[in-house]
Amino acid sequence: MNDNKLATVLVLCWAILLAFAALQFPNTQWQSSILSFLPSQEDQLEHQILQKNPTHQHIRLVLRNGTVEEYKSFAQELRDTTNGVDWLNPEREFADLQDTYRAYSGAFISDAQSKQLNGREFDVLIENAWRLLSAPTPIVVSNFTQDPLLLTETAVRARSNPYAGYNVYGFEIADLPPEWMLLGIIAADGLDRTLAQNISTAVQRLEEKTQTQNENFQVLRSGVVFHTAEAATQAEKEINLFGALSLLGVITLMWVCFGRLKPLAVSLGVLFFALTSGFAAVIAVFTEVHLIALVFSTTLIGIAVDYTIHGILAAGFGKGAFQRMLPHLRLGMLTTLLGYLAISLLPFALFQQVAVFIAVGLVAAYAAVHFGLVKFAGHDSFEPRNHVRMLANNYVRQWAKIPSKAIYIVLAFMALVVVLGITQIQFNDDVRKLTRSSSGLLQQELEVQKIGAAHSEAGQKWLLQEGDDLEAMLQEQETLRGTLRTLEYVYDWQMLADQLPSKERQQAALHLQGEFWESESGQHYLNQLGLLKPETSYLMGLEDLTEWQQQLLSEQEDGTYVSFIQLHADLGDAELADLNLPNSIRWFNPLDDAENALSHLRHQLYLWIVIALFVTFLMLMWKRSLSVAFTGILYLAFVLVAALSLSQWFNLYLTVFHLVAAILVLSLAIDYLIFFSAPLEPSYVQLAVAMSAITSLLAFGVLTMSTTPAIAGFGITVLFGILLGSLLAPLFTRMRPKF
Amino acid sequence: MPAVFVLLLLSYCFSAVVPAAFASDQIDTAPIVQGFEFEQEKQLQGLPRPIRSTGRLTVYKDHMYWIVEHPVATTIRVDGDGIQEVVEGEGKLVSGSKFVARLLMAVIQNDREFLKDHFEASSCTIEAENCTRFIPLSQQILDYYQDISVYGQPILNGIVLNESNGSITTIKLSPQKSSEE
Repeated sequence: MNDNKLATVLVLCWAILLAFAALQFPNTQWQSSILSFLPSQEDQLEHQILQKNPTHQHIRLVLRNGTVEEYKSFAQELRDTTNGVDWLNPEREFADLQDTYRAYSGAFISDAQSKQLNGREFDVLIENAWRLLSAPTPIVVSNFTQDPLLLTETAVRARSNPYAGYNVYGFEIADLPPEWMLLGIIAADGLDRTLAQNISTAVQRLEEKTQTQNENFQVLRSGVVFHTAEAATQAEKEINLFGALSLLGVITLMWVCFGRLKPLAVSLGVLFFALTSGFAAVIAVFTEVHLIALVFSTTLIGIAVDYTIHGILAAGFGKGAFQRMLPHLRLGMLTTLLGYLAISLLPFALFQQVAVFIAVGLVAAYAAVHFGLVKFAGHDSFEPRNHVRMLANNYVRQWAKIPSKAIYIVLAFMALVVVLGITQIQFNDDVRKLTRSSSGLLQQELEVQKIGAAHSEAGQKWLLQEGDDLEAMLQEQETLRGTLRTLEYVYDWQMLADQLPSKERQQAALHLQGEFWESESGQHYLNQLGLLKPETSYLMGLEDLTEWQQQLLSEQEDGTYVSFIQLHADLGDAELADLNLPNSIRWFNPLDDAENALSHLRHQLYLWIVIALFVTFLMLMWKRSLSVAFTGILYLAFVLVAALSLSQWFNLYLTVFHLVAAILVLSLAIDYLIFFSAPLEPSYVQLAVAMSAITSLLAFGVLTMSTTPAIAGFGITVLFGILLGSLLAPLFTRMRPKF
Repeated sequence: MPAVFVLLLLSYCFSAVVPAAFASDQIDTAPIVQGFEFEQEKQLQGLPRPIRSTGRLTVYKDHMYWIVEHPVATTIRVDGDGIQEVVEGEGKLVSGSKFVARLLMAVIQNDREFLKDHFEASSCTIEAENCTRFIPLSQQILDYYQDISVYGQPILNGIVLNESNGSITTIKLSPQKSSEE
């Protein structure tokens, strides 16, 4: 197939890809939180839970400094305007709860009552019942045909409500001045950008509307949706800003170097082809697309322009020079592609999307340069300005003038930096360091979390229980509750068994009550009330819990159950060991798990870098020489280690994003190495590499301005890496074969 | 962590008992506004016989004590925080009782502002005596009471609590004979 036919086929492929992406586009879901794209957890169950992650669906709003009327109006309008959110009606919820306990009164009793029945402390129980009967307050949940001793009424009353009350909208968390808390649950994932932005905008609009009448009115927000909305807005801004800055930089550079419109038009044409291809590929491959992946992908602008510059400069030297340049450009593309291919294999969807975007974009850019550049622009108008060419020549000549001894000293210094740097570099795998919400939103989140936290000073711990037999799970929770009660450092807990006693326990409670009714005390009590021996109560089941209560338990696709237990406790490692958990219950800490997953990912990346260096060594030995291979590996290792060390000095810590940036640096530095050690005109190579480096520096440099630490860290490492790599690469002109 | 949210919700209604400690001398230090002797009769749904109890009601400015003497001795403190059973100087707050406590306080103390906000008032007659019947405006009160009637002018003579579950509580009040409660 000749070049013309191949070019036609490629354009057709591009058109088909664009058409397919256009069809897919309406179904694409947009995400904006890095945490939603964390690498797969080592623990599959935790991974599944996090993938579903119902906490992403929860919203808490605290209304403050307003009047009850303002709160009512805010809450009602919010309900009317936020589609897809189920706002809790506590009044209805509590009515349902009372109905449940009323239906099963007698079967639901407290541990203390159970102990009293078992210890035949009947007088205590009878006296307590008389107290309830004599009080002016209504008997709400017990019914006399099943529970004349009012055990369920007592058990429910023993749990207090720390807040003033509730209404159809939410909880009245304070009276004077009034404060309300509204709770909502959204139907879709809170990380969904469109929904999150709709909800966030609705809350913002209503807050501002209320503030026009009462400037002190305030809404505190808590929930993933608000962080998602903020991240999405920020990411959208950054995509536009970084894209515009990169493009502006490229245009300026092309104008400074060539002073003509034609090279600029060619660059923009290649760029358009590359960007549309990359974007369409991501839309075609992924159903959930991350906005931050697109922020990273703006770097394609810098890399794609590299290829155009190589093409333009080589074409300026004539057809032969252009043809001689192409294999090296292909080799450079191949190394970069291998870099991104490796990244695409990582279990991190965010980087997979970046890799697909840039890999497809690069192939498109190469194809545009190979098949389109000369065809559309010819060879005659690509001469760079003289002062630019002279500047490049001078830099290369300076390297040629350096005595060999000095070169050895430079190499020794590089080796020393590599050795020292490797021992100094330290990574931090804390996932919270990857992303950052605005301080205002974080402050609101903290304030909302503090409200109602009975033991806020104590650590909040989570236990995860899994099993296929709900009854057995509840029994284990009841055993665990017995243990927790004996531990001084456990202040409070919440578990499903608190709401739904095991069948065994309910039967035991009814059996003990049966013994009581047979006793003299029981008979006497019944006579006093004029009652017959009570009917046997039915046993309460999972289906009797309200919809909200049932959220304590999650049924998995394979029919097994997962239940969560929350503890407020001061637990150190020693206390954790003391707890002696049954096999089905274990500690649940998704952050620790994600940290382990990131650490695992980091070690995979180390291995990849070592393999890449080894393959490069073999390739250089085959295509160049042994000395180039050795020096090349030292050069690459130096660039990597120095870039990471400088980033660590600059950012104070390194994350996995710095390491992924190092992979990109490696692929770019291999490019420079290949071109400088190739038998090509050195001043052309220097000019092309310098311009490539400057465009890449522009593209990645703007990322350092990102408010997301992960993106800024990525940008800074690539920035240092390209700077060092491009400044040192002319070293290899001393080793290149004559041409 | 799917349970975070529901646990938060449930913690509102079912968190651990909050003991409210207050010294018994508090009963004596605050100035008494009103003192009553009461006879209560509760006709509870499901019970064939009414439950009768007697005792004293001591009303202070912002709290009151419901002291049952028969059939079991018990002291209940009703204040802005809710209803607390006083055992050896310590109060055990009853879950979700804050609103009911405010309601009882408002009825006994004739807090017109609170009653006007939450009830529709109408005239009635109980045992040939004129009374005022308060019908709740909100579902929150209707969950507990269908209506509340009070009678006696200028001193409160009685209250009839007509509960939503069909039970009826009738409290007859008479001024306390001794000033030292």
